[in-house]
Amino acid sequence: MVYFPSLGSYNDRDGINVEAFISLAPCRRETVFFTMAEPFIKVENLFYSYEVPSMEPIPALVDISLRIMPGEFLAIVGHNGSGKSTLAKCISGLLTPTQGQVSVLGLNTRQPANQRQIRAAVGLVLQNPDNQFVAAVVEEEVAFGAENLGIPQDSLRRRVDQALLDTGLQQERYANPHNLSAGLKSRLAIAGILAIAPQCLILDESTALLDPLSRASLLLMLHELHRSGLAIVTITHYMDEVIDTDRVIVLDAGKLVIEGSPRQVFQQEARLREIGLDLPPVGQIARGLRTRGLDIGYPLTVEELIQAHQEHKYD
Amino acid sequence: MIDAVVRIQHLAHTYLAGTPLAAQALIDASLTVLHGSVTAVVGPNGAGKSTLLHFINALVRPASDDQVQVLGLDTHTPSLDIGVLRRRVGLVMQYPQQQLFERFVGDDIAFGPRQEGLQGEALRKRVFEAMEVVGLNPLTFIDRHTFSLSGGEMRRVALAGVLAMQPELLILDEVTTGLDPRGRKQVHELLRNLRDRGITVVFASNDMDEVLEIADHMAVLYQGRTVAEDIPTVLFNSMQSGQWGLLPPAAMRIRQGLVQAGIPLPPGISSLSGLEEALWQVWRD
Amino acid sequence: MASLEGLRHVSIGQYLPTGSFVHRLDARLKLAACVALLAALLLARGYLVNIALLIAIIGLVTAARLPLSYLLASLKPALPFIVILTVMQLLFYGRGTGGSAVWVEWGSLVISAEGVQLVVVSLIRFIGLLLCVSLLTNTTTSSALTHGVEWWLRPLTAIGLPGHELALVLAIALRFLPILGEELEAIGQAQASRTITTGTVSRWHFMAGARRIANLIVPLFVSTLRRADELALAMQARCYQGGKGRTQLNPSNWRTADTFAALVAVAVLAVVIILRHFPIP
Repeated sequence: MVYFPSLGSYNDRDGINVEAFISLAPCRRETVFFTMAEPFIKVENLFYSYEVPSMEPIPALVDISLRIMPGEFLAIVGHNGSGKSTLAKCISGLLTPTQGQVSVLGLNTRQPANQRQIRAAVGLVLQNPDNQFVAAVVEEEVAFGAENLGIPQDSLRRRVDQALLDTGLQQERYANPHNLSAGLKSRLAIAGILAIAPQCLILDESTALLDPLSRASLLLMLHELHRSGLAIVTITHYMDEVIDTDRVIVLDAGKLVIEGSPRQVFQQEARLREIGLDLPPVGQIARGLRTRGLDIGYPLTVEELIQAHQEHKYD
Repeated sequence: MIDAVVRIQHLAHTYLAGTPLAAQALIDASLTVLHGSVTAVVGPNGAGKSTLLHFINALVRPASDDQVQVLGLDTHTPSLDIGVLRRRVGLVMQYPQQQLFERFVGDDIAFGPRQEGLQGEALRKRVFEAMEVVGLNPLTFIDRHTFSLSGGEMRRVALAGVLAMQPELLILDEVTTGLDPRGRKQVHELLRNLRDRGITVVFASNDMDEVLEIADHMAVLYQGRTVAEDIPTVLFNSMQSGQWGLLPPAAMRIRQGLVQAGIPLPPGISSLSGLEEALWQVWRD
Repeated sequence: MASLEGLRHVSIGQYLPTGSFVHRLDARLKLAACVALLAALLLARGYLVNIALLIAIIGLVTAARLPLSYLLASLKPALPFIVILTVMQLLFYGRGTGGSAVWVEWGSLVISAEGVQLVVVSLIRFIGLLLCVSLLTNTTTSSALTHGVEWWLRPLTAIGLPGHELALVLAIALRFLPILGEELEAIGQAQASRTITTGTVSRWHFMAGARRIANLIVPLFVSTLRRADELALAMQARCYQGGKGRTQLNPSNWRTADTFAALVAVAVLAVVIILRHFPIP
């Protein structure tokens, strides 16, 4: 958030009340959380290969082990084809591992009987919203997932209203999804998942097709959702989206190569350069200043850079 | 009309006019592209960038004279030979999968030159050249199925298919959107190469860092209107953050934050390295 | 290239909320009424009844506050085919069976009164059919449509056929038509932007148009499959496991107006069937 200092309000659109949004936060999710010590998703020695007729299977994920805690904000970064989307699909139970185990809330994704519960707990939002819409009206599109779960009508109505409020789409309730702007389409895709009331939201490059302002406002929305207790896993190429997360994992050619807090990850500059990933802009400036011999540490945001400046001044 | 390759003035366009689905894409759009320049058409999603670019390729034609002139030709003229225009103006679309229609990569790239009557060795040479320019190994890619390619590879094939026609003017519609940083860098390098070969480039983008890095000139499109046209650094220095649905380049946003915190930095810094240099000066004192 | 934009203009499968009373009618009724009207169109004989039916349908379109020109514009891409078919039918129909009047005779080409009637009636039927289906989708949300079809398929579900799945497939297929129209336009533009054969606008506009559309089918097919793949994945991610145990945000409710409309539809069909036995021009 710090990275967009000029974006004063939560949203660039009218009619969205940020205060109302935050005050609703504690009572809105119909979820019971596990104790903090218990990982919510466990990935153990996961291998996944795509089967291609008359060819060797193509390995997409190689020996990945990972734990995701309830309420965590995790970022997965890596190049196109590094296996990010495949990992997301494995975690949400849409793909079954070739080898190894994935379990959600202690339920193994291999068991077909667990599918429904797993998908209801882990909501995956795919990249291109255009190909995901089933309904001709926004509110029915939002309801689709919850309808599948057999949620009774009055509770369904509440969930849809809440999801529309969470994503700032109340005004578009009766619109045709197809006619929305790109930014609103992404929000709608997320609203459709929120109505399922998952404990974890996985976003597969949801910001990749958006302009910078829509992207920034979507990110603010994600942080609000996170604050309300939702675990979020975001897949992205944009390094500036990673700074505010709890933890980052870097994938390269299907392997998990770096893992840690954003700070820890961005300190491994040589490693990142090897993979061909850049630092966020402030990090790049700081790196340049360090190579000139200035001891300013590893700031990633403008605030941290200012702080580094002030500490330097009073040394 | 000395050097202007494209001159668009007060252009308006409504899709599906007169139906309940009517959508006004352009209200008052203007654009000037000088010969040999790299010009960016900038704006948020839905600002009308694609529509404007389609006019340059005469995919959409204006309602009256003197609105769209491309390479000195008025695309409103009913007797205009569109074939001749399109041979000189290459368009790479936003979604490459929509642009590829042949089964094999080689055939797809050869589609344009074949119509020029190129055959045999000459055709082969043209296709290979185009593939090398975009960084595709001809031997491994020429017989690949177009639909088995990854997103990044599709973009390159689409670009090669257009370059194989040897256009004087190349139009690119958000070709880096959705690409990873490595893919973006490769495209940027490619565009600089093309400019060095004398090809005029027009590209649509909503990434200001990209515009700053490769464009000589930019036009800002906002809700169907051209709201500004200038040199990128000049424009960025005068624009507010969030204005026209855009964010200034990262370096400018960071500079603004630092100046607000009382760190004395000179104006006019637009690149990260420039900012680094300025900070170095401040710190050393 | 204005005709390329026409490809985007598919009104079948669009949903256009205008808040009219037709929109508020129950989806089950609208489906049945649509089928009844289509049956009436196919069964009606002679000019008069067909024209009366077309007028009635146009009346419904107006009542639904849908612009007629917008629905009819869907015909534009198909126009070349329609014109060719009409002319062929007119010329090669022959003398007919009933020994009807022959208006023009030139070698083996004969234009008879019966041939003309057949062509005109076919055109009316085609337009009526298009309007009926457009009317249905433009006034019914896909979710309501799915539930409507599902309701009518209940007998099938009872004997073990996947009624809900069939209904959903139908509703989604209809909903994707306009999207495919847009896709077709984009692919067409991509081809056009690389088509550099010398010449201005082709004189053989119709034939060229028909051929161009044929060229677009393969890429369209591939992209449709890819979309379908992604849609399936997105539906799975939202816990879709078939119709069992699904609930509904906006359940349908049958009102008096629906009963009334149903009676009218049945009456129209009955009248058309009865009129078949009377010699009306």
